[in-house]
Amino acid sequence: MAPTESVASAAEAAMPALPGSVGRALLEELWRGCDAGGWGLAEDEFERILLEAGTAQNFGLAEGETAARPSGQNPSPGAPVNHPSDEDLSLGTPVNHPSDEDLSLGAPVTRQQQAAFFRKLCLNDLVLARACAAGNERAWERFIAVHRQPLIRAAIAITGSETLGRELADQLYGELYGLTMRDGERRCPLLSYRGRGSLMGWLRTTLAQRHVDYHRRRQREEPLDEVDAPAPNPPAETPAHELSLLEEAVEKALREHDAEERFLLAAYYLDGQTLLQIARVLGVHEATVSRKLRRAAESTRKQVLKNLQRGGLSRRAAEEAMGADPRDVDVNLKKLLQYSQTEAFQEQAAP
Amino acid sequence: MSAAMNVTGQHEFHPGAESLNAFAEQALGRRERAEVLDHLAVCPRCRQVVALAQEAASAEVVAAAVARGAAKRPRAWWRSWGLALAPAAALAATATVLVVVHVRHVEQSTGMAKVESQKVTQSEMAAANPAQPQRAEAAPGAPATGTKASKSARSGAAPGEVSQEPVAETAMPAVGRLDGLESAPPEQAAPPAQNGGQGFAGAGIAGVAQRGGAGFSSQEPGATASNKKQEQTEAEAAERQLLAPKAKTTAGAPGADSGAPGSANTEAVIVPRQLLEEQSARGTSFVQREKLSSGAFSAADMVHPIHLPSGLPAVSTAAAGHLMLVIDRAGALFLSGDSGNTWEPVTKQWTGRAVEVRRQAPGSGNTEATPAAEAETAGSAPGSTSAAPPPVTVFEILNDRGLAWVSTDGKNWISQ
Repeated sequence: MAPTESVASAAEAAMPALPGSVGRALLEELWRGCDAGGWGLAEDEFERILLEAGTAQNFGLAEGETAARPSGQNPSPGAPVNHPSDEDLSLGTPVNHPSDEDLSLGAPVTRQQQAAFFRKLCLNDLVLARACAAGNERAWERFIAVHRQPLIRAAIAITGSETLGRELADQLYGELYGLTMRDGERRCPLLSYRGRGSLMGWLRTTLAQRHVDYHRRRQREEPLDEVDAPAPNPPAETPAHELSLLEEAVEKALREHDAEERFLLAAYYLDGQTLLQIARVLGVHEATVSRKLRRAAESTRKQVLKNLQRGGLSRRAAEEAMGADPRDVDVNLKKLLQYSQTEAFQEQAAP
Repeated sequence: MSAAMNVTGQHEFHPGAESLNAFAEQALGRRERAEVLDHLAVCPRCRQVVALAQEAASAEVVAAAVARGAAKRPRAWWRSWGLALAPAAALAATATVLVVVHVRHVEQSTGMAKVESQKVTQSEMAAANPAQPQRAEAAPGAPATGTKASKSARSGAAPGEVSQEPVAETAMPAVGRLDGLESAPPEQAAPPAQNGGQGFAGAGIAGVAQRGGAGFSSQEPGATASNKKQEQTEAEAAERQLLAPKAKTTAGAPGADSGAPGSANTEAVIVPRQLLEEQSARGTSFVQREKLSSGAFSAADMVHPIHLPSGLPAVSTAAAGHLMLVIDRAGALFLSGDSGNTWEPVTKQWTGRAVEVRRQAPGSGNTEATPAAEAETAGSAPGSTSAAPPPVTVFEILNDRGLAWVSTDGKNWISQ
């Protein structure tokens, strides 16, 4: 809503929407802005898709969170209305600081929140995906026309092989078309698409997941005796006490990094990704990634030194210990960097 | 268990494609983004998924750009000129027309100058006193006045006879002409001012003024000061070289310097002339001299040296229109039918070594030796004779023994 919008319309937008419905004006607006009518979707089906998607995601509000209702009476004329930003809406930030009573009542989502939720979505892609999942033939024609070839190209780019790429794309296309049955029902992965990113991006990510999981399964199935046994470590020149101190200091320093620093270190040093690749993932410039990486490395070094000194070593001894042969240090960086401080994702990987 | 298996075994739960894609497309909220990032930091599988998806997206962008480029094929470079082609073509056409007009003008002026000079020569010869050749024959060394004297002297012993029989020039007795050429060098008698050269004319050396050696330097309108200086230096050097043989011959025949005809003087004249032609050929090209003779000489013509197939320098040249004949230092004769652009060797049909080629004036049977003087003459008496016969050019070759051969086309030569 524009900041200059009248108080009356703002108040109307803040009114709770009827349960199980999307406001008519919003629906008309969204329908006009969507290309679904162009490829043959009916407006009532469009409304049904919107309602399903909104309900499934609680209109962008967190689980159990309810919409805010303006506390007290209608705002006085001329008083400024605080509109939630998209970020606030997506994070479920309450609008106008609702009282505890409002929150506990589980008030319905307002039209304003509905509008903010739908405007954040890639609505064209979402409607197409849902229509495909529902078996709409015209939607599939549209999907094939728009996404079939890019899907194959993406699969080829991911696998690095024309044959494997086409095979992977065909396999996913079969799944998308609903050839996979689970519990006697047609299971379409497109239902898991919620419209927060582009449908093509979702397809690419799904392809990548399939590809990576396939190779990781194959790697897991390989017999262990095929793995080359590591050469025995030469006798350590650094005293064992200092080495154990060093191991502890490194572990502690790495665990103290925040998520982004650990991601940078892991992606750069463990995965061998380039600065450009990392920058694309994070949506920042290469120079930013480089600078952050340098800072993370320097911070790690300082922290290790500090930890060594805390362990009882002098500064000089700590610096000498830092020069120890890395092969003498029994530190599994993969383990350390992959130590998770949170248990955010309980969602299982896509089958 | 390997380290890789340890790693993969740590995380059983991963963000879905929706979250990973939204993370990569910066479409997540702050809180959810932090959660995904935290997972990515510890999950190599998801990092790999995101990296591969990004890679595919980049490849798609490149493919789309290529497809756009292929669909929007750039126009040919010449199409982009569009309207500029028309004025460019008009400009080129104008330039072509100007060049053609200029070339025709030059040719026309050359031809007119020749015709006028021919007319003047004929009229002068027709009006000449029959006693004059006798005077010239009797005293060839006497100072002649103007071009008339020099031409009459060059015409040999009987210029009046030749002028009376302009068509029968090829049938003219060669001996008489050769005698006139060799025994009576008019250049020795010509005053230095007329020849335009100081040292050569002053030394009484034949061929300098005739071949235009040092004399050109004072008449070339486009010659630079350095060119003049160089020519002067070369002329002086040639003079020094030539003084020795000349001294020898003059020692045996004291009257040679005074212009008395004689066998001893013949040697004394021919050898310097050959050497002088070499010298003059280095300094000025054939085309330049021909331009001088036609009066249509310009500075732009100085940049066209003669490049013979033999690679040797030209020592003697003659021309008529587009037909050119050149003798190189080895005595080989070359013919050009396109004003010196291309050359072809002429089969040797003479004895000895060809040392000089020259052109006989049309209808007169006289060799044309002083083009500059001829031009002057043309300017002094224009249009004196209006009904001249069509010019027939006769070339003449002299060998090292003084024998002559004539030809009208430069290819077939007849002994005289």
